[in-house]
Amino acid sequence: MTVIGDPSGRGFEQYTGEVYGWAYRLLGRHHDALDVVQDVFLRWDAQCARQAPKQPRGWLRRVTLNRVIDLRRQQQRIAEPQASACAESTVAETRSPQDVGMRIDQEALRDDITTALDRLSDVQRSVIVAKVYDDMTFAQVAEELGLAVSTVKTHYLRAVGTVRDRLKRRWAKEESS
Amino acid sequence: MNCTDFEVLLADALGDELSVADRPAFEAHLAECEKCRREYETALRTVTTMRALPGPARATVRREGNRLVIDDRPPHALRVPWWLRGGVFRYAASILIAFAAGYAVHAGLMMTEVGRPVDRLVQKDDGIEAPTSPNSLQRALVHTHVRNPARSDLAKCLIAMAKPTG
Repeated sequence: MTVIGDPSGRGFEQYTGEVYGWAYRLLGRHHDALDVVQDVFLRWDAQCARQAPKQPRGWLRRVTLNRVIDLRRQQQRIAEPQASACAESTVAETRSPQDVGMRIDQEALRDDITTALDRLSDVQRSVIVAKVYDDMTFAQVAEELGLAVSTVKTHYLRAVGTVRDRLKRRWAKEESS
Repeated sequence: MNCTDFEVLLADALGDELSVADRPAFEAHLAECEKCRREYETALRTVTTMRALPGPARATVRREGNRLVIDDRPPHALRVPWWLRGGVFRYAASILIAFAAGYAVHAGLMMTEVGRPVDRLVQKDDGIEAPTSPNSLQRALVHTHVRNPARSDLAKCLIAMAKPTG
């Protein structure tokens, strides 16, 4: 059981589950996702004290993704200890060699995807996550971000292209092996 | 449809928003243009790969008083029934307790049947023990036999029963 904090009646509660979902998908670790949720909550609280965001969900998605990228960068900076710790936790949490292999593979995949997301602009990042993970339509994303639908489509294509370029190397390795 | 038109519809196709009217032309172009087909397939594979990352669409959050609480277990993880969470030791302890209880009940029954304070045995000259009263003789014999069947000696018992007491 993890206590996130006192929502102070500022509407964080209804978005907490989604914030956790975005963070978990991209980080793959429960406690990392909770760290992100708590950090985003603090920023949300500070933002609401100044001025409540006009598009709360869009604001939270952008801040969450930025925080996820920051956390990934920190983890990559201490890559060696993190890798060994990750390997230990992976072995401890799973039961069979297949599970271990699958988790390591997923970890590498997450690493590739977040590295690609790191190269995108805030808007592109928000668009691709809203489309892929939240199943929003282009019209909904456009309304949330205050952009034209055609602009959102352009951002989406560029974002997919960037992630694809990153994943292509991975696919080439898989096919060669 | 040319490749430029295809590019316009590509985002719709990847986002599952391609209209029924545009679909035939889009698919016809895919069939005839190798470059566009490859682009579409790799882009679709990218989106599918991203979607395939395991994780909850959203976590279950509940309110406890003034606090928001997320369960520490990942929401998509397998829920283990409460009776399986203790592991092997809990099972072993349960079995031990069951055996101990069974033994206690069994021993208790024997005490009520047989072991009501058995009359004090009296050592006779010939070394044969006999109870102090005839009524308790049978109980004493059964008690001896049940406690140690291998060593109970029926012949001695019969002799003891034949002799007058006191």
